[in-house]
Amino acid sequence: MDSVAESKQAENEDGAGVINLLRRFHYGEPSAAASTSAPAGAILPALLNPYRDSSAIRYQYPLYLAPRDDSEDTVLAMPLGEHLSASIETFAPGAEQSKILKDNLPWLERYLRQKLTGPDPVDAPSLFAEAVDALQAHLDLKDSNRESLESSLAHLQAMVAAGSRYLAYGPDVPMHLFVHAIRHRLAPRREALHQAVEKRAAALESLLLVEKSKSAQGNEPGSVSESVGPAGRYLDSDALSGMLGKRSHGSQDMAPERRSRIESALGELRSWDDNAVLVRFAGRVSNPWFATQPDVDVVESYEACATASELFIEDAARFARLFAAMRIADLEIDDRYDPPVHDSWFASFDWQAFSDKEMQLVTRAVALESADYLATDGLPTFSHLLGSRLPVHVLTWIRAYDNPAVKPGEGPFDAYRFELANFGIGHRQVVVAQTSAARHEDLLSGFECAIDSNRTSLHLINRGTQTQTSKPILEPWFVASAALESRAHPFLLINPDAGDHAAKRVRFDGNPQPDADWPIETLEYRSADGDETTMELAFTFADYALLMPTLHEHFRMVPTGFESNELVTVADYLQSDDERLDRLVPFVWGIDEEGVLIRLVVSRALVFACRDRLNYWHSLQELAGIQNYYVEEAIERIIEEQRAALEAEREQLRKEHAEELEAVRTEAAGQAMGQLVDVLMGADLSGIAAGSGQLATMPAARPAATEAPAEAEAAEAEAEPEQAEEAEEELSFDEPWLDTPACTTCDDCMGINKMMFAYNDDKQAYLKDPAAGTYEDLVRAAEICPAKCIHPGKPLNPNEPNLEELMARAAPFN
Amino acid sequence: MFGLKGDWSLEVKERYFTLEDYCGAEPRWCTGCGDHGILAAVHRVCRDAQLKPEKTVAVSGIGCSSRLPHYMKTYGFHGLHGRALPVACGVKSRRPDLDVWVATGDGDCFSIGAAHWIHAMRYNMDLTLLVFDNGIYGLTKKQTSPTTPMDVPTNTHPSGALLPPLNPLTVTLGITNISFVAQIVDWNAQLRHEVIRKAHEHKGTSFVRIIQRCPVYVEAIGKALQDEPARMQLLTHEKGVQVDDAVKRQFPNHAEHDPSDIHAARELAENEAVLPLGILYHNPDAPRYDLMSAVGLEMTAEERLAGLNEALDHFAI
Repeated sequence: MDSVAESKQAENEDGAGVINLLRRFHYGEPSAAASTSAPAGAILPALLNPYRDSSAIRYQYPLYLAPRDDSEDTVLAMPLGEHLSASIETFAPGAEQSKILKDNLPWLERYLRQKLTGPDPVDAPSLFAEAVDALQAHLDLKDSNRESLESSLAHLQAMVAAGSRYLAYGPDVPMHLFVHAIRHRLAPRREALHQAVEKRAAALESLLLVEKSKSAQGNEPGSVSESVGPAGRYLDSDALSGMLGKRSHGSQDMAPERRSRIESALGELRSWDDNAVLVRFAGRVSNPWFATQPDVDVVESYEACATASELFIEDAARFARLFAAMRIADLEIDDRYDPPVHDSWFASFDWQAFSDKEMQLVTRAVALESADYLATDGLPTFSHLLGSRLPVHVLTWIRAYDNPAVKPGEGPFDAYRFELANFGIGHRQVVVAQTSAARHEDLLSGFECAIDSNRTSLHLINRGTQTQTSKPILEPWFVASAALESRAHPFLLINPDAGDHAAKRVRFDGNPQPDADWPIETLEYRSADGDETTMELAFTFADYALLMPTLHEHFRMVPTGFESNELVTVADYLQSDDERLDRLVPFVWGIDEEGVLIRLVVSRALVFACRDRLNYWHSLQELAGIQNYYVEEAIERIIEEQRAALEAEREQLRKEHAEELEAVRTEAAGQAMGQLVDVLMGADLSGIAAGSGQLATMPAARPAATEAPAEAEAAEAEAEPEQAEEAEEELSFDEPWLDTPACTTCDDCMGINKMMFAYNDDKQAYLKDPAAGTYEDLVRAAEICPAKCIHPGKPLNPNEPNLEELMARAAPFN
Repeated sequence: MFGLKGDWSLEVKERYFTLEDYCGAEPRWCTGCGDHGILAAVHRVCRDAQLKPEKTVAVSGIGCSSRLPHYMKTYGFHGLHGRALPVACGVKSRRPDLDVWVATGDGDCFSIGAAHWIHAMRYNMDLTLLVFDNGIYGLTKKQTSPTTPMDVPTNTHPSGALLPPLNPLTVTLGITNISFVAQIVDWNAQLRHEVIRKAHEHKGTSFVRIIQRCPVYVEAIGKALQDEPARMQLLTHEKGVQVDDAVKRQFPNHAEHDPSDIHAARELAENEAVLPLGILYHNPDAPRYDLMSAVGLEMTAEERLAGLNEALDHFAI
């Protein structure tokens, strides 16, 4: 702070020195960096200031994780508050029902939120029961009120289903949600598998039983009477046995190799040990919770991709034996097994031959790896995995402000950012999900998409947990949300199963204001005069960077109260094509812990990083079909074509009209001449209209209204097509005329030329003699007339000077 | 941003009040008296707004209406005949943080209290003024009041009143700076509740004339009205009260009336043949005297002395 005050004093009163100093910092001059102050204290980007105290904000976590039920449509997870209010609506829809409970629902929710601090899911019914007791104790109602609350609470408690859990936000949320999704998807299928295995095993056993009953062993008296059952003692088993022993030609023994095949298949089915593991994580997992779960296996590894592939292949091999046995069983039960065909097939049966359904049953392998490793040393194995057909899931944690491929000693902006998402897209057949852990629906949709598709999948997750500082000023959920908002970690979901075209594969809807460069939000603040006012701010990457203490070297505070029109916001700076660009200094708005607005000037390196992010954002938009240049070009082209066609039509109509006008004129002139001749020849005068120097009025032109709305044909057109204007022919005379009824008797035109204009009996002006003055007189009179009733028409004398200018001036009056 | 709303901790109720928390003594009004329903409505409005009982005051004058403070478990002031409004205005000007309800009657407010009525309306302090208009002096056993109809015999006028009754609506609507004027009957619960709720929510003097049945002394007035729904007209408008179909069926006459239109309100009030029910006039922006009179309340004694001394220094030598 002091150094800024000093330099301000040293450099003069009008602030030119200050802006120079800040500009020098922006361009990276080290001495300027030393003599200005970096952000001190707890400064947040202005738009994030309302979230400083997160206990007052009801955001989407904690989540209610629904218990397993076997329908495909259950919502896997929903925010706690939503679950409570939706549950109440089902049994108390009216405003007056369960009023006491509804009024106190926020208290209940707050109690639960305060208890849910741990990183792991907590059993919901027991915690909810605790909350119910706490609420009753807090309210301490009497008699009928207490009873009615009790019954409402009992209803609500029933909706917190057995087996459901609550999950608070934390760094392990993505893994928890993955396990949750797998359980929902895989567990029912595994149970169905069990039953299928059981069924086939039983069927094979009955086949073998038939064989057994044909054998000599089976024909012995003891086993015969056994096979009859309890009533066997009524039969003479010896005699029966003797009869059975004499076999006729009808019965045939099973071929020995068939028998052995069936026996080995049966052995496989019976010995199938489903160790109930649904998912295996490879990587370094610090949270011990996962190892305690019976259906989760954690394998420590420093090469997660390779290990995950191995784990999958291992599991797949086990399942291969089971699936082979099942398929053999099916064939044998229908007696369709054909050794020449099937023997070699089953000899090489492995995971590559699995059907989609079978693949869905195999234990999932998940590689957990940091983005830094994947982008540098782990790149070859990573790439190999993405190109393989193994349905392995890679979950990687991304720092949104940093470059994953950064080398030690490099700063985050020294190189262009390695976009792992594009790397994933480059492998074409991979499900790529770039999501924020703050958005559980996005995370889950990425996981479900990956699990259902049997493809290799890459999940790039940003969690917002800050490790560089022990006391972050903003909760991780908000940091993660900010990464999404600022386009530092935009949402993207690519599912190659959906089709070949980007339009089908790409989902982009998780981004706020996807049409805009940066999202625009309103900031409410109190200005220096004490007025409450608002301003529209864009939330850019530079604003997000302010959250990261390691990047504070890219910011410098502007002294409070200092104003300059060379200070512009980063968003404006990036869009500006001002010639003074090199004089402008970009800044972001911040708010300190006292609630004071501060400008923070941003370094050039950071502005370049913003531009880089913006460029990446544009490329993603294009992929998603937004602001797609090709589409917009096509729309423009079509509009142009329509316009040209319209112009041509209009021209044509104009020509026709002019011709018709001419024709009518000559005809009327002819008639007038004819009448004149008649008069001169002494004919009847009564037919002539008493004129005032005007020709007979022309018939009104047919309004050739052509409306041709130019509709864009491109389906994804974002631009509004212009409406073609109505091509109405204006009434326009070549002769000068004066609209006498409109005249206000102001004498202005008389002042210009007394011979040209005169008053009639009502003291309103008329054009006495248009040839009594110049065209200029007419134009000047038209301009001065307050009633705008003088219309100069076209000049009578073509030799008059300055005609072009005069006609241009006359144009609005004609 | 992030699609989040602001502070939700305001929704958490640290103290929760049920209806019983506002019920004071057992009401001793006659059975069938309309006052019971009005009391129930006031209790419900307090409960819905979760008013703190210790921050609520019921002020009244004298009459059956003015028994109300005893039946509310809040602070109360049962004062002199006709002087409910001056006391209420006094409370509000010194304690602007308190929620003030005023219960008064046709005799208490329109007769002896008329002067206070006019000026309290103009002051437009934030209080809810409920006038229990039963058309009679009931507590003192059947004397003619300003609103007693002409054909009703009473102890002071055995052949009925000599003059046409006062029209409180036209008088109120003629006062400058009024901000809320409504009229209801006591026997429709939903309408009663909605209007009283809106009156309470309005920041300013909310005048609600409640046509209240007195089953003991002037049963005929109430009965006549109840038997003839054509004599009443329900005012409907999006800026007025919203009621459901049951209410609309009970009062089959409807009229669309914009509460911001004072001239239309006056016309409705003048038409004595038909009683308008609902909000006749509502102006949320009228200036309030309680805001002005509360300036400087939080000053300490030292600050006041300093201020006085500064002012006097202009004259000191």
